[in-house]
Amino acid sequence: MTAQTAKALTLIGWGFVFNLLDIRIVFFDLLPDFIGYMMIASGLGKLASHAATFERGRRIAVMMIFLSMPHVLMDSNVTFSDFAMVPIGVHLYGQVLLLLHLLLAYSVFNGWIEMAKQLQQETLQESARTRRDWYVFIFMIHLFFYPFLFNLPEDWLLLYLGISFVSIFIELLFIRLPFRFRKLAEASETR
Amino acid sequence: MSDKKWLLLGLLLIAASWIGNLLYYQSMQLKEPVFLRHYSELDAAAHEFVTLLYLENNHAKKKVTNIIIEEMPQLRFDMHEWRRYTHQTLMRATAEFDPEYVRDKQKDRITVRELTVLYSDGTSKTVPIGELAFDFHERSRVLSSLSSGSSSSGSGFITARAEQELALLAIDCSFQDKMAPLLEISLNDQPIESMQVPLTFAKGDSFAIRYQWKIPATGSARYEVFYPKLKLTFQAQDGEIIYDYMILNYNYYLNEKQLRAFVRAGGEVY
Repeated sequence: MTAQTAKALTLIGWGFVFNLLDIRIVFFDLLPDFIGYMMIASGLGKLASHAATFERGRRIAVMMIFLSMPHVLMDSNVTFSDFAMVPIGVHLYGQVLLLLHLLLAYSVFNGWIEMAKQLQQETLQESARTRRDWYVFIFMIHLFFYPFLFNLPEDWLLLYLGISFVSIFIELLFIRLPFRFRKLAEASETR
Repeated sequence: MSDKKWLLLGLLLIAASWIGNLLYYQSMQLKEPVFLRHYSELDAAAHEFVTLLYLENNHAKKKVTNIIIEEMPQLRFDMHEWRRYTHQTLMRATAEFDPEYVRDKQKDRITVRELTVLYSDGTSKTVPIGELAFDFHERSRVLSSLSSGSSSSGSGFITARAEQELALLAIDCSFQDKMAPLLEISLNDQPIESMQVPLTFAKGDSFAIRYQWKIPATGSARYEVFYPKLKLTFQAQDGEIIYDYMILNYNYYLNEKQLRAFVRAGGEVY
C-alpha cells in the first residue's frame, strides 16, 4: 500500500466525518457537505486502481458535490411539528441526498471488500461485508419509513428518532473502515 | 437473489412508500376549514360563552382568522387549538358577550344559521353553522343547582332545588325534533315523555334530572355539536308562569376513524 493510498484513505475517512457533522450558525453550515464530498471524490479517484467500484463511488461523490451545495443554507433538522409545513420538494431533496449517500457508501463498502480480499485480510473483508449489509438495511428502513411521517400520529416520531440514532451509529462503523485500512497500510510499511 | 437485486427491490419499496404516503396525505386534507353544525341555545342575558368548533388541516396555509355573526357583529372570537389529530386539528372559537350590548338589546331572541368566516389568505365565506339560538330575555331563577356531572359515555345528571313552591307544567328540550332520537331524559327516573304534569314542588324540594346521549358512531349527528337547554315551565303559587332551564352537557368527541370518514366525505356529511 503506497503513501498515496494512505492519503486517499485519510481523505475518504475525514470526508465522511465532515458530512456527518452538521454545525450551523443560524442556517449557515460551518462544515458544508460539498467539501466532504470533494474530499471523498478526490480520495476515491486515487483508489480507482484497487477496485472498479471506487470509480462508481467517485462519480456519485462528484454528483453529490453539486447536489449538496444548496444544503449549506438549508436547516436539515425538520421537526415533527413543522414536518408537513416543509414543502414536499425539500423533503424529497433531503431524501434524494440520503439515497445517493447510501449508494455512495454501498460502492465504497464494495471497494473495501475488494481491497481486503486483495490484501488477504479475511477478517476485515468479512467485517466490511457485514457492516455493508447492515448499513444498507438500516438506511433502506430509514428511507422507507420517512414518508410515513406525513400520515402517522406524532408518537411515531420516537421510532423515527430511534432509526436516525441507529443510522448514525452504523455511519460511524462505516467511517471507521478507511482508518482501519490506513492502519493496515502503516503497519505493512513498518514491516 | 444478488446484492444488486436486493438493492433494486429496496429502491422500489422506497419509491412505493413515497407515492403511497403522499397520495394518502393528499386524500386526507380538507379543502378549507370546516365548521361543524351546532345546535346551541345560549343564555345571552347570563353572558354564556359562545363556543364554536371547526376543523382545519394541521399544516393548512388557509386558516380561520376571524368569525363574524352578522346579527351580532360585536362578538369577537378567539381561536384555540382544542384537539389535535394526525392530519387535522379541532379548533375551538370562543366569544363573550359584552354586558352593555346585552343590556341594550331590544330583541328577546336571535337565531343564527350562518356565519361569515374570514381566512388567512384574505378570502371570506358564508358558511352554515346549524342553529345558534341566543336568548336575551332576563329571567329570575326559581331553581338552584345542587350538583351536576357528566361522563364521556354521554350520561349526565343534575340535581336541583325549588326555591319556592312551584307546579311544573311542562318540560322540554331545545331543538326538540333534532334531539328526540339522540337524547333520553328522565326526571326522578321517570322519562319526561311519559311524565304526568303538573308536578308540584314545595319550597326546598329537590329533584334529579338524568340524561343519556345516544349519538350513533356513524352518521351526520356524530359531526354535530349540541348545547341544548332543558326548559322547565312552572306556575308559581300566585299563578305567574315562570320559565327556568338546565344545561345538558355534551362532551364532544371524534375519534381518528370518524374524522377520516368526515374528511373522505369532504366535510359534506350533513
